Amino acid sequence: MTERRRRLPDGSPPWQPPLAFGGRGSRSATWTSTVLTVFCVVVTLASAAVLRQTPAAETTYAAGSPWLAAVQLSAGLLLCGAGLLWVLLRGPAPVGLTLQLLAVTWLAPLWAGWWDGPALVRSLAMLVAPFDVALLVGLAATYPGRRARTTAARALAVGTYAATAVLASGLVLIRDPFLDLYCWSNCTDNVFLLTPLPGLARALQIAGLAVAVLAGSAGAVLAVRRLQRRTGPAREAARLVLLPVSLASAANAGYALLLLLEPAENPSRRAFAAVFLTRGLTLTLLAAGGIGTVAREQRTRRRVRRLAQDLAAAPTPGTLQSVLRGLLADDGAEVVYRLSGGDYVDASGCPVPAPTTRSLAVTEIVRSGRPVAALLHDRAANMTDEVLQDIGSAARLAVDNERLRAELLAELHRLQRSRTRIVQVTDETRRQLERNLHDGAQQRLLALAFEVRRARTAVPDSSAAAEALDAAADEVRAALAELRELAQGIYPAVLEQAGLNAAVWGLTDQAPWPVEVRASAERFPHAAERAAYLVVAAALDSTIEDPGGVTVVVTSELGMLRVEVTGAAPKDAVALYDRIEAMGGRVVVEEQSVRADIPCE
Amino acid sequence: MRVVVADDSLLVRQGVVHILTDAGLEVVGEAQDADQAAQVASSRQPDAVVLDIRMPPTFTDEGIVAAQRIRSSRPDVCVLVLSEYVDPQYAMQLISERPEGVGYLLKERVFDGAVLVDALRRLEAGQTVVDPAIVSRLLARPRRRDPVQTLSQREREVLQLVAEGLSNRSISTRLSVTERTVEAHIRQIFLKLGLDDDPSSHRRVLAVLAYLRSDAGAPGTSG
Repeated sequence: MTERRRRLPDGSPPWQPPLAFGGRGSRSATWTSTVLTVFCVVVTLASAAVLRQTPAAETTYAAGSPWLAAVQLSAGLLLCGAGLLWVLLRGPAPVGLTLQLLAVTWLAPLWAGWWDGPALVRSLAMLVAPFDVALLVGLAATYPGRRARTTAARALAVGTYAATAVLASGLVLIRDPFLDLYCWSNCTDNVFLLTPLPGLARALQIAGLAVAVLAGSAGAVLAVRRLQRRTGPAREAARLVLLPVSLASAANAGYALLLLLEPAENPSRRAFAAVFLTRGLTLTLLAAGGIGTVAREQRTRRRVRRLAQDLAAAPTPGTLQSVLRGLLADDGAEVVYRLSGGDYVDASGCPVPAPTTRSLAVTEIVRSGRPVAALLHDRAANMTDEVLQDIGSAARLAVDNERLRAELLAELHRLQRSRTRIVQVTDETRRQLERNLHDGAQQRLLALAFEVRRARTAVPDSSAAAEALDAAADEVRAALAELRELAQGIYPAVLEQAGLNAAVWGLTDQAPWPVEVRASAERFPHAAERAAYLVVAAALDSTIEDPGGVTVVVTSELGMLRVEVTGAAPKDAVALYDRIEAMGGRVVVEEQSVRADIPCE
Repeated sequence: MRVVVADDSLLVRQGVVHILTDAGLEVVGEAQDADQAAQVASSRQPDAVVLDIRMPPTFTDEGIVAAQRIRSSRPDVCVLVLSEYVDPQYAMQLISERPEGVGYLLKERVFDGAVLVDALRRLEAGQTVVDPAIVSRLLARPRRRDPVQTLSQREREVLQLVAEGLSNRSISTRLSVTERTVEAHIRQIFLKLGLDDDPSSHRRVLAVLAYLRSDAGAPGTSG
């Protein structure tokens, strides 16, 4: 089975407790099912009475042997019960009603053979009994859904229903049971009879049996084929029903074949009794399979309910993913969230590639027609559409919460990256500015100093020109010194070349009061060193009075560079916060101290 | 004296060449970057190389690296690095290997008349040259417990000149005192500062700079 991309619509109704009419099942299906159930129970109870009334002349299998009676009644009741459970707990999928109708067709011969029973009842029973093959073929073609997937399967199911309907209704119009050579269960009553045409009736009977043989065999094969095409848990789940369907269908084909070969049906003959027993047992198996399927799903549903509780109880990020992993027994299952821009992120807001169906099954979670999240899980994970719908309902709040959070986190990540870029660009700009000062203004000033010096050598020492040129030379020198300080302030080249230790020493050299420095000579990434440098610079720049003991300590631990200044604190630390938080670090400014933890990545 | 000049700025290079030529020194080669400087230094057999500290490609400390390369391949060649960094770190890094014949001057001093030529002459004589501004800055550094404060005015002057790399003879000339007096001052200074190094060695420059660079009075805390 090729996995396809599935969707979890948000339109699925929330889960409701079973036995609530109008819950999962539609109202009409529930009513129909209830009526059929009542019918089945009445038939069963009545059958006891019918059987007691039936004389030794055998018109039913049940009358001949208590064992066969037990098989017939239990199979009918079980089928009916399974159908009811299905309708109530699994909703309006036609499986439940089909199971109940199978109970009716299975029990019908009992009523047809009701000795002295109402003619209408017996005639109706004769009419509906042949539909069992069509019901089984229909189940084989559509289970577990509503429609057959392939044209051939659809044609088979529809053809069987149509042929059965035509042949059975035609038969009741022209068959006079009294004139039927092989009649056994009901040789007296047919209220639908228009004209007795024994020859044609026999032909229709044979045609009906032929249809049953062919359709029954085809249904048996179809059920097995469809089972084979499934894989993993899906196959396991379908096996419970499709296998009994196949067996029951084959048993019905065998029954029809036997009737073609031996037209005189006789419960006391061993072959007929054996076929009857087989049909009863395969139908019992089918009922058990139906009940088993419903029970399995109830178990999963309970787990989904627990999921909802878990999610409500512990709404920490990533809970949904871990809960779903437990639920699906798939440790690789992931929940990813779709941002409004179309990108996907995980619960922590980190970008992830858009989900593809290449290696994993993808189930999209949809809100208002737009996918908001996707569940990536193993193909083999136990995910039926119904379970997915339940997960969708139970996890709706959690999905929304986590998606909002993930979106927020993604936004934060973007903001963080943007801040980092801003700092980087600022630094790069300053560095470029410093270099431009060096390459441009400084070189020109040096050239100017050189020209002044040459001019100075050309004039006599004590002249007025010499005095002016000496003054000019002093000015140029002062300008160069100022330029040097300016460049240093714009971007401390020494920091990059000689490291934080040297640069901090340079800062303390210029401080107007003593500063004790304890810094290792270790080198750190440029960005971290620069941030630490700015912390120290801002703190030392804070006051002109001697604060009486300033200490700068630079340490590193676990990939974090820590710089701590005590005795002085920056007046305005906004720039420090901006820079260091952009790097994912932390600054704590107090009245007389500042501490920064800067990540070194 | 045969000199090679390396600076990526044509203006400065030409200026330096002009000053040296004016002073009667022979400029035997010019270079635009550190690699070229090393090449020219080995091919032209100069007595001294004048290097800009910032040269391509990174414009940080190529001059220092080139100086160390030249010194290790040709120990007899003097090297003078022209810098715009007033931080003592570079000067100390430069002279840490072998101080004699190595100098570090601030660039703005280059056109200061005789300073450049004087520096080269001192290097040729086996002295060390450290820019006075750097030493002044180190001496001016505020300290909590400061043995430098216990020095007399004259001793401080001597300490400054020792740190600038002057020999005893040069100091005596500069201060107009006898060489013996200078020696006595220096011994006294080393005693007061608690310096163990031989006061007469070439390495005393580095010892004094390192002392001043450290948080004086609290040894072992420097990086």
